[in-house]
Amino acid sequence: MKFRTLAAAAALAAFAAAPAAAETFRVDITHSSFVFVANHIGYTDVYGLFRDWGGEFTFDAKAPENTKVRIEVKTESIDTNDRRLQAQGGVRGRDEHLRGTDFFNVKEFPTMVFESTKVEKTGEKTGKLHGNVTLLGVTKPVVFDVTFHKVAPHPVPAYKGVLTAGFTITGTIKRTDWGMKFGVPAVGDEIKLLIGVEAQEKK
Amino acid sequence: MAFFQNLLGDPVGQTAVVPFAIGVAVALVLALAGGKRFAALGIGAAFFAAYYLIHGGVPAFPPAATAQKMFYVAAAGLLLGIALDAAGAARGGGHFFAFVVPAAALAWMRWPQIAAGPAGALIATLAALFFASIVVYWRQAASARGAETDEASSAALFPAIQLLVAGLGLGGIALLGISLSLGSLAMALAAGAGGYLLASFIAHLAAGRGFGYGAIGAFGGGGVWLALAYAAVFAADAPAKIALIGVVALAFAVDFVARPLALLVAAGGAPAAARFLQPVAYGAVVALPPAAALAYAWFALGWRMN
Repeated sequence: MKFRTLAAAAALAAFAAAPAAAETFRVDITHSSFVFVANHIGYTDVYGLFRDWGGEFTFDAKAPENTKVRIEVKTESIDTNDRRLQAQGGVRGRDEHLRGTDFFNVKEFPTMVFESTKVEKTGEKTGKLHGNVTLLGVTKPVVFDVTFHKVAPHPVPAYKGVLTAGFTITGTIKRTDWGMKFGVPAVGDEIKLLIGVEAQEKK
Repeated sequence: MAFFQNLLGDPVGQTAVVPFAIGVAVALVLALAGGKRFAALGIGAAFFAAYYLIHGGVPAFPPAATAQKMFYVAAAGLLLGIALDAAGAARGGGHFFAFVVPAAALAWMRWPQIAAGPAGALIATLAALFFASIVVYWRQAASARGAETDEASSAALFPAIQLLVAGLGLGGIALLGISLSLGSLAMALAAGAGGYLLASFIAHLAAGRGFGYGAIGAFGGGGVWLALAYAAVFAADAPAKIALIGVVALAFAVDFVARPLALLVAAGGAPAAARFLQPVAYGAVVALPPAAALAYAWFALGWRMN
């Protein structure tokens, strides 16, 4: 266990060769967050999140550049903390609008998917995560920044010491690249993403 | 310059002022250039200008989403209308394409669902939309019949009046309950129809003859309305929303009643009075279904824009 932990840590931290087989981790949604930020008419940034998402990532210790990350988001779960109209029947709130055809079109495209293509080391605990985002039926390449935090057996007894990794992905995408053009520029084209991931080794 | 930039970026400018101005301008320019029968081209032009302004461009091709396919269905309708009118084949070709266009458009827009194995609800929805499309094309073409005669000259304005009130109705329902984008586009279509209608109405009052509507109007105006209605129905997340779109569509069907009634108004009186009152009377009747749908959504269902 100790050897495996060290190997995964090396792979995660240094994105360098390490003497272990690939480890597969599954996102712990309870301790992970998928946050996005959109500017509103130049006044301020509005924060939102997706409540239902998940993913897995696999580290190939011999070829960390081939590390695979896959994240799938249920777009229906969007939440921008809009409670103002929820109690009134027949009235659309902002989240319902975001689920509609003007934005995420969740009836036709219920998921948004990120799949990595390669990982590029840029520092001791940082790297570039290259991959493709599929949204609204369109797949476009993206590059995110990733900061590794740590990998270690989980200290809480209920987790029974399962190997747990944590890192943060940040980046900016232009939603119009995926054909989500409504409301630009009043609702910002550039969307900042902040994805905090805690994941446990998949047994 | 700043005024025009603000206008092009303002929602009211995009959905009302600009399409209305295009509807008027295209109709007047074509009429002055001797192309009165192509004057309804401004309606479609107004819609596509509004689409460009609202979405900042045109959707990628091939389109992935139904709402993006709507754009190309609308564009195909306008091009078909131009081709039919240019070839002088509006009558015979129009009958044929009134069946072919909705069938092809609906199949394309819903192909992923059809390919996955059509459910009963989907078949019923597609059948209802196809039937409604036939009625829309039929009344768009038939309401203007006889307009070359003095007795029915006001009828030249009737198809555009249908489109104006149906566009406002669909726009209102979509804005309140379905999609700001589709609602804005329907409003822009209504504004384009209103612009064309104003120019044609002035010509009608002055000379007793409005402008032509033809296949360009039916397929590039009525067809655009249908494309928007398809997209709105497919995007709607509640049966009540689909039902209200159906009520709005009755604006075309009540032409059966509105046309003969309107042509009776001031028929035996002064020609100038008939020219003015008949389109007004027609509009008052065909506006009833969209008005009822909007009133129900607003007062009974409590719909409001978010």
